[in-house]
Amino acid sequence: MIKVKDLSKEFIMHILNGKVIEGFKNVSFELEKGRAMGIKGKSGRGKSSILKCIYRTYIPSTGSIMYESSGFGGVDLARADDHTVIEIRKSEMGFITQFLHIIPRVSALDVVAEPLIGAGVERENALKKAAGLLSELGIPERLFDAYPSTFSGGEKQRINIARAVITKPRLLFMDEPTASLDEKSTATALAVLNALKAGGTTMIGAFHDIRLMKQIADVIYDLDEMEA
Amino acid sequence: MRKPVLRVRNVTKIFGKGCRTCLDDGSVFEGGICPDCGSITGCKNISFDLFPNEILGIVGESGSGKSTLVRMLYFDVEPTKGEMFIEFEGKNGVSAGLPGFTGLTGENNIFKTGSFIKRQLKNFFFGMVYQSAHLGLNLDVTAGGNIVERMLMANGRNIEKMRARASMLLARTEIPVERMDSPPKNFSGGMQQRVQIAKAIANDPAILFLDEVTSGLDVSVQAKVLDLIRKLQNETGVSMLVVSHDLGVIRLLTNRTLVMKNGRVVESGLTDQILEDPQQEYTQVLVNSAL
Repeated sequence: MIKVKDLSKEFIMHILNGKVIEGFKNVSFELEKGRAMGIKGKSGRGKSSILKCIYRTYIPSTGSIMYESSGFGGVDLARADDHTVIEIRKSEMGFITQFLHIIPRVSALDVVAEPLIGAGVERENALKKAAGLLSELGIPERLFDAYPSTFSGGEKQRINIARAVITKPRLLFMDEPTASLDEKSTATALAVLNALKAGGTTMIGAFHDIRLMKQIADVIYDLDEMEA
Repeated sequence: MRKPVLRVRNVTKIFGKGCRTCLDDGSVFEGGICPDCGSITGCKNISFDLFPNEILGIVGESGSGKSTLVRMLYFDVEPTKGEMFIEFEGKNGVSAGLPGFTGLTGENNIFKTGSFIKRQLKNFFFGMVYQSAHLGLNLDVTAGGNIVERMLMANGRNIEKMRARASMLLARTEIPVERMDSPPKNFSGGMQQRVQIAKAIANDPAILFLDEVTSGLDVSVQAKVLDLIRKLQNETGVSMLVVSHDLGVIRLLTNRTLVMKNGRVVESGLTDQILEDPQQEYTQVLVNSAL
């Protein structure tokens, strides 16, 4: 489903007189449909940067990312044009970030339902699905109409998870998806993610907590080991 | 793959008579002033595609040519050279309103068509919201009158129907309908912008140009106008070109962004990529200048 070859990222900081900052180097892996890969590594090793390169928030410096898209066939995400990336993101990808990039003045329910409405699902239905998902993740109903900017870290993270998984994406990126959750909400979040995986979603995640990672990942890519 | 609704190619505007130096494709001058003839480069070789349902951002500092570009596309300013193609099959009354026009097949350079077709496109197909309300509105005519005037230009006939639609549009842009018969000169800045938006969407345009629409408004009013734009886009699927120097506005509204400097596009890409992994020196300065 996805085959990454010799992927590297370096940042050229023109404003620091062309200083080059290395993100990560020579990453190669292959992942079959429905499998989950965990990226392990110390802070600063480039776990998030790998995810962002595949999602194309970062432009890779070298290498290729061959992805079997349902809508476009084989696509090299490292080189695909912007509109192809936008379409694939919208209809095939989800991304759980560490931090919620809050859309201001939109209710929790609408934040979660939005990607589904964007995918063409009727509003009433989308809102119903969003409510179901939020309940499953343990968000109390009284918060559904509130703005997530006022939520606690753990609540925001769950909004983030709900928003990323509601469309049942083919490929899901997870960047420390449970970092700010307590034990109980971590367990429910993992259950939601594992159910999604059982439904056929391929996953790539960055975790610093190995014990957690092993509860969802089939394979582990160890950045520290590569370095050594 | 869907096709772009608007294709813009090599659009250039030189203010002044121009000479070989400043018309040369490769030339870039600081401040845009030609050292040989003194002409000012407004825009140089701008090319991009705008897709149905897409919100494209144009960001850059004051004087980078952003407004000149949208004004050329809206036929307010005549380009020195360049092409614009429109390919559209849709419900907007464009083709019906263009007798003798073969339709928007994407084959004709729209800049080379006659003034009648340009006027029709301006009235039926495009909508424009300017930074200053006095450019988009007649501030002495009532809010309702401003909107009805735009419908009249697009061959509206029935005054009752048009008034009803004007009041619906004002309600949609959250202007109290009781204010329909007051002139916008008595409105606050945020209200004037919302009347401008109501007027711009009066004829259900396929493409909406928004030129610094929230600049100069205080933040709570800015938020209201931005929310309205998001809501309209969600409901109607209109394509938008959003010009702003404010990266916050660009982040909130757009999927894709062009970065302009000295009349040129220096970088273009996905908005999150432009903000998180800017490639060009100027874009890096711009992103790092954000508060």
